[in-house]
This record gives sequence, structure tokens and C-alpha cells, in this order.
Amino acid sequence: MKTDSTTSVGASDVRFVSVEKSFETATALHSLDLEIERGTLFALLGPSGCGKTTTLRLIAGFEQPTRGQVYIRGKDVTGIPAYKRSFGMVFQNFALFPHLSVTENVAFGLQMRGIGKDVIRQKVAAVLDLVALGKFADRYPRQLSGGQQQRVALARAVVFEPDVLLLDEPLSALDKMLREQMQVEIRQLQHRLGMTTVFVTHDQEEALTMSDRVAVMNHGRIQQAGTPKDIYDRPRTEFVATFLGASNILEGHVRGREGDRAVVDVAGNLIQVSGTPVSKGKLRFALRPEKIVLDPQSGIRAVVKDVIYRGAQTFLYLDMGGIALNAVLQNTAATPADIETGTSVGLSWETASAVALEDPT
Amino acid sequence: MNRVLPASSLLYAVALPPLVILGLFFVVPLCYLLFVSFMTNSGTSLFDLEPTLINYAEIFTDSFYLLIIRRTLLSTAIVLALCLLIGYPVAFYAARLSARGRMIMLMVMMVPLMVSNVVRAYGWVAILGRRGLVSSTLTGVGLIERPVQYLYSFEAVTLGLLTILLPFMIVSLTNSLTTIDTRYTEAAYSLGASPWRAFLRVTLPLSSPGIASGLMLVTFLTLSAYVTIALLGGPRYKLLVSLVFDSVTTFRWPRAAALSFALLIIALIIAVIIQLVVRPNRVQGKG
Repeated sequence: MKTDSTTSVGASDVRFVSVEKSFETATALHSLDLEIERGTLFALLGPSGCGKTTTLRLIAGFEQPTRGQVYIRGKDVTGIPAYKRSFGMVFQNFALFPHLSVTENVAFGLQMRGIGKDVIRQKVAAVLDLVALGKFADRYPRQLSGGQQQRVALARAVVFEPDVLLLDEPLSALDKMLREQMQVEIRQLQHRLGMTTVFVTHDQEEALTMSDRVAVMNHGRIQQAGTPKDIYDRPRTEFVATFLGASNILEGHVRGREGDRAVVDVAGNLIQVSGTPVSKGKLRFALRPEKIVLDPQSGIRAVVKDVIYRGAQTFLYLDMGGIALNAVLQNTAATPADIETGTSVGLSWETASAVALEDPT
Repeated sequence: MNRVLPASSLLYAVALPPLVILGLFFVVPLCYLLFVSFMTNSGTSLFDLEPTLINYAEIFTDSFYLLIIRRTLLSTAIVLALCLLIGYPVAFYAARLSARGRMIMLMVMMVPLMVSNVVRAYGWVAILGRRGLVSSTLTGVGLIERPVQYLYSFEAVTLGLLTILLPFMIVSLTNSLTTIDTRYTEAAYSLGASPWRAFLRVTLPLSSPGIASGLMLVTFLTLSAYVTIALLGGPRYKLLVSLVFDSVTTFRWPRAAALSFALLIIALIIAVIIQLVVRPNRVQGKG
């Protein structure tokens, strides 16, 4: 079951070169370039209709690009039908063959590759053990719970050691508890097998917890790709900043520069914004609510409009000179216990937390 | 539990009227028919009240009856096979159409069903008869020397039944094929199955409920299609259902009843065979 994840670090298993996909009525993908390194768990994240599923189906070969090339393991697979490519796939509702037992489902891919019966028996037994379903080998999909079906679907997709594993919203059919458990399980399995994995999700939390790399998509374009932390901490567009977690989107005139930062005037408050070469005109930037802390000494002042106590956190709805601002305070021992509505508070944050946005339009 | 009880008793209440109707007009007559089939044939009344097994004994010993039973079985088998072979590709194509296109196609196929079977059978008579379209055309062209009677043969009956029953098969298969999630086929491709193997291993088994229901429908309709068989088979090519009619017209009601039961038993046996071979239950994951 081991793939050679160590032998060629840095080699890309999936590569898109200016891939375009148009359907009769609309363009689903605009000149997409994508590179997925061997062994990574890669998430395609975005709202419905953003092109993430189309991207996955292009890797699978269920769709063919209108323009551009698709490579798997360095081989140009553009135009090659799905069944001649080497990938395993877990479908949204698992798509386990209802008329075949667990064993027969898992053995299917091996049989199609003309592998001998004895080898098939061994491999199926091994992979069912791996997903802890050895006891259910003779059951039919309908006799299994959602989580068990999910594991069978995974086992079926990896047993023939494909070049790439594709997951199409694999957890959307499960309830919340099971989903969180399966997130961990899939991640562990993926690490153990070292199999390059691409998964599609609209759930930002799922993308953050599971993946090594995330590509946030919108309107058929990749808005930003990188590690989850990278994207969360340094969103480049308003879409990324608001789709991945919550963000305050603020705007102001640039008054000057201080080192590599621009100084922006937002309703009379001078705020330093990192990551921009701009030195005049208007500038938009994102500020995560949880990066804001109360600081009586700070010159940045805001009026508390509402306070919502949420156990571990306190949500503050603030008015900073006419501009609405949200803050989330962690309820540690250091947080002041009572914040009264209508009082004025001082705010501060690490300067790196205010991130300039490249306007998406 | 308090809430379940009224709900289920309501269910029974709703089911009661149809059950009464079914019992009164189906089960009771059927029992009466069974009773009649064990009585002696009478020249004057419905039957003589003298229990006998002669009606059944004759059916299963008389070489004429046995020939007709064999012929009936063979005809049914051929019609079933042709319906499946011709119907499946058509249904497969229909299932890939848009919902609108599929509806139009099935409607068009249904139009002939709005014409009476008698009219359609006479249509075949006009085509296949001695002075019919085929015969006179072939004579005119010089391919055959004398007019030929194509009617009253196995082929004529089969052709007649096929044209009537094919739409039922196609509708049944189309309904079944359209309900198969395309993801099953894609899953088969993802596992390396070529389109042909994906069809054999996934689509075909998953369409087994449609195959089974289509075959059963065609079986029952074939076995009871009297008009077509009478007009296209004529006096020379009779099937079991023709003999029921013949017995009635000669006032041998108990024999007609016994033949009806023979027909019913044959239908049930074929239905069981279809279930065992096609195994429509496997899509429910029951082996």
C-alpha cells in the first residue's frame, strides 16, 4: 500500500496548464493553472458554482478541457478517457455499487486491472483492515452506516494504488459528529499512504483542518492558493478574507508610509497596513475579528454597540467613527469581565494582522 | 405508541374497500373457476356436479394439448427474448435523452397502443395475407411465382405480439435506467472499467428491476393476447389461450376452466423463473 512519496519530493502529480472549460451556457473555468505536489492533501474550496467540481472532474477525465492541458504524474492525459487514467475517487454519496458486497465493491478496481484472484483477496483483506471494516466484508452497502460506507468508498478508491485520490465533498452526506471524526480519519489514512489527494469542499473549516494546501476558488478562477495558515492570515482578496472565516473589510485613504507599511486613515484613525506597495489613494484591507484586543492606552477608539457572551468568546459589535467593526475576544483570565454597551474602548492589534487586499475587480 | 395506533388503524380503514372489491370480484370468482374446473362437462348446463380430474388429466396427457403447451412456451420465450434484445438498446438511448425528449419519445411509442388490437391485427392481415402487401409486391417483382400466405404462422404471431408488446418493455426498461445514478457509471470508470465492462458489471445489474418487470408484463400479456393470436395464427397456429376460447364456444366450461388454470400456472412458473434469473432484488443489496 505504500507509494513512493519520499523518492521524488517536489514532483507534481497533478498539473493544469491554462485549462479552460466552457459549457454550452457558461464558462466554468478561466485559464486555470494548478500544480499539486506529490503526497499533498490539496483542498479545492469555494461556493457552489465556483468551478471546484469541474476542476476535479477534469482531473478524473469525466470532463475534457475546452483548452489547455492536464497532466497526471507528468503525463499529458488531456483527451484520455477516465477509465484509462489512474485515480481513485470517493463520490459525494459514495456511489457504492448496491448490488455488490463490500468485498466485491473493493475488489472491483483490482478486477478491472486483471489482477489474480489470490492477490485480490489479500489486498482487499489488507485494505479492509486498514479502514477497520474486516468484519463487514460480506455485507452489502445498504446494511452499513454512513461512516462505514464512507470507509468502504475510501478503501475501494485506494486499494489499487492510484496516482491520485479524488474526493468530491466526501463528508457532506454525514452528520456533524461523524464528519469531524472522518476528517481526522481521512487525513491519517492519507498520511499513511502518502497518496496525492485532491478534495472538493465548500466547508472552509473542513478545508482548514484537513488539507496541506488550499486553493480558494470563485467564478471559475483560483483566487488564492497556499497553506491554510498562509491563506487565513494573509488573504489577498475580499472574497478570500470573508469566505475563509470572518473578516472586517475596511477602507481608507493612504496618508503615507512607514517602512514597508502604508498608513491608512480610517475614520480619523491612523492604521498601519502591511503587504502593499501603495503610497497614495484609497486602500482596502482585512482585519480578523479575533486579532483585535482591548487596549485602554490605544489611540484607536470605538464605541461598543453590543456585547454577546458566547462562553469561550465574547463577540463585540463596535462603531469606529461610523464604521462597523466586529471583534472576538477570547475569555481568558486577562479579559475584562464586563464590557458595557455604549462605552468607548481602545483597540489594538499586531500590525501584520491588517492585510491589504488586491481589489478583485 | 399512542399516536401510532390510530395511524395504522386508519391505514387499514383506507385499505379495506379495495380489499373487499378485490376479494369479491377476483378471489371469489377465481375459487369458483377452480371449483368448476374439477366438474364434468355438460352438454346443456354450465357443468354437471360430478367431481372429476379428467379435464386436467387430458391437458397433461393428450399429445395435442402438450404440443400447444410447448408451442405456447416457445412463442412466449421468443417474444420475451426479442422484446429484451430490441427494447434494451432503445431504452438505453431514451434514458440518455433530456427529460423532455424522453417524454416525447415514449409518447410517440405509446400512440399505436391507442388503436384497438383488433384493428392492428387486421393491419397485419392486410400486409401478410395471401393477397396482402408483401405477397403481391413479391409476386409483382417476380421474386415468388405464386401468392404466398404469410399469415397463420409462428412468425406472423410473433411479429404481431412483438409490435404490441415492445412499448411496454421499453417503458419499463427506460424507467429503470433513468433512475440509475450516473455516479455509479462514473465510479466504475474511476475504477478502470471500460464503458462496456461498466455496462455489464454495473448498469445492467442495476437495471434488473426494469428487466424483470418488463419481462413479466410481456409474459402475462403474451399468454392472454387472444385477439392477435386468433387473427394472425388463425386455425393453423393456436396457442393455449385459443384453446380456452375453443372450449367455451363448444360449451365445455369445466375444460375451459382447467385450461385457464393451466395458463395461470404457466404464467406463475415463468414469473418465478424470471425472478430467479434476473434477480431484481440484488439492487437492494440482498444478494
